[in-house]
Amino acid sequence: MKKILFSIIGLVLATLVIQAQDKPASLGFTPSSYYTFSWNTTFTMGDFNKWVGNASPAGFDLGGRYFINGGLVAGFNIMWQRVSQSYGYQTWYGEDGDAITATNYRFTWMVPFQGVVAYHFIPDKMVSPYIGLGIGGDYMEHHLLVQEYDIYKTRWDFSLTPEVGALVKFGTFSSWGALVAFNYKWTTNKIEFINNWASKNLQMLNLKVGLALIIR
Amino acid sequence: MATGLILASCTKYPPSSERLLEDLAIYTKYDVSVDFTKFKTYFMSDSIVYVSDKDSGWYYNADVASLTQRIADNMHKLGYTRTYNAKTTDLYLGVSFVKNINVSVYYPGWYWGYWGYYPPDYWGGGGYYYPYYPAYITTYSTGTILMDMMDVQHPTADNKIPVRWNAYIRGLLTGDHTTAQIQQSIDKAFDQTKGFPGH
Repeated sequence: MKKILFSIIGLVLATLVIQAQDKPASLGFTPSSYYTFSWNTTFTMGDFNKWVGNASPAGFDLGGRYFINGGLVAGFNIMWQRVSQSYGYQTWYGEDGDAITATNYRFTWMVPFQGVVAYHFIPDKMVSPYIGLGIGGDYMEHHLLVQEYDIYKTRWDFSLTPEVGALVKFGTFSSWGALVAFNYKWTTNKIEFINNWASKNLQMLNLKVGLALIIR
Repeated sequence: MATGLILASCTKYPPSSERLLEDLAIYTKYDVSVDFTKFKTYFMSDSIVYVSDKDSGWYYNADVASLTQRIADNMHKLGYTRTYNAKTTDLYLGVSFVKNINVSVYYPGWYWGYWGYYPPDYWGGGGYYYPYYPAYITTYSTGTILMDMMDVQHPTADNKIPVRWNAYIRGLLTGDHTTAQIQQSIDKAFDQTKGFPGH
């Protein structure tokens, strides 16, 4: 996790240096708020990656940010995500004497919801990098599909998501822009299928690319 | 296209074309409260019950003989002796084949009110019951072999015969499965049952 945090900080600093060499400070505006709708790609990590190893572009994110003081913002994120992977012919054993042999297909469906605090280093500029932290939870369903059989567990969790990103206005005074963000997510969620699977603290990386509506 | 991708992302389940690959599925379940070493003999008819949406009945041909022989081989490996005396046997092994119908309508209850592996009054007329929730089929199937192992010497007070093991092998009429694959699936149904003697 430390490596990821250092990488995030490094990216932010690099962006700041580039930004500092950019345009005069007098141009642009500091928004009062902005709303984002982003495409999300998930890269599972650790035990989660053993469950589903594929990166998944099946997800999107709806967010809102409100400037409180200077570059400090507070807001929210609601997401939909799904990761999935097909496995070969395997036998699944249940706890009540049942067993199924067929092609196995695993997927996890997630509905994360988080409160977010972030800091925009140069909020009035066209390219406005930020670092943030999301705190919240997830509703997750972990499914093992063996043909028409659907064996699943549902879990709620607590999650933390440090994030680095940038709000990029389409013009100096534009009300529309783009959002590019990258985050690491740690959760208390786990996958437990009796006799077959045990994991804890599911983790993932997310890449978000989307549109932003910027309010003056 | 973008709208389609967004909608696809919103759905909980991945597309069925991605996850429901047509191949053989083998599902077994057994009564975990029973010691299967206590059984010594079993009865199995040379014919099997055939069920389709057009006709149903007892059926026998070379494929059926091959199928029942494979089942008998597996029962022999478990240490059970085949008997042709249905009244004194410990276990009755019923085998049926269901073709291309919505079997969820018929199974597991279809033989209770319809017709079954044997004359209803053979062991007292109480029918069968599962001491556990049995393996069953939820969707249209392309062809399924069903096996039920009944503990005929231990009926309940109301004359119901407990089914100690049941199995189904699904997806047999797609044209892609060889006799060898079907026989391997029967072997697998026995092998994956942890409650059987020696497993």
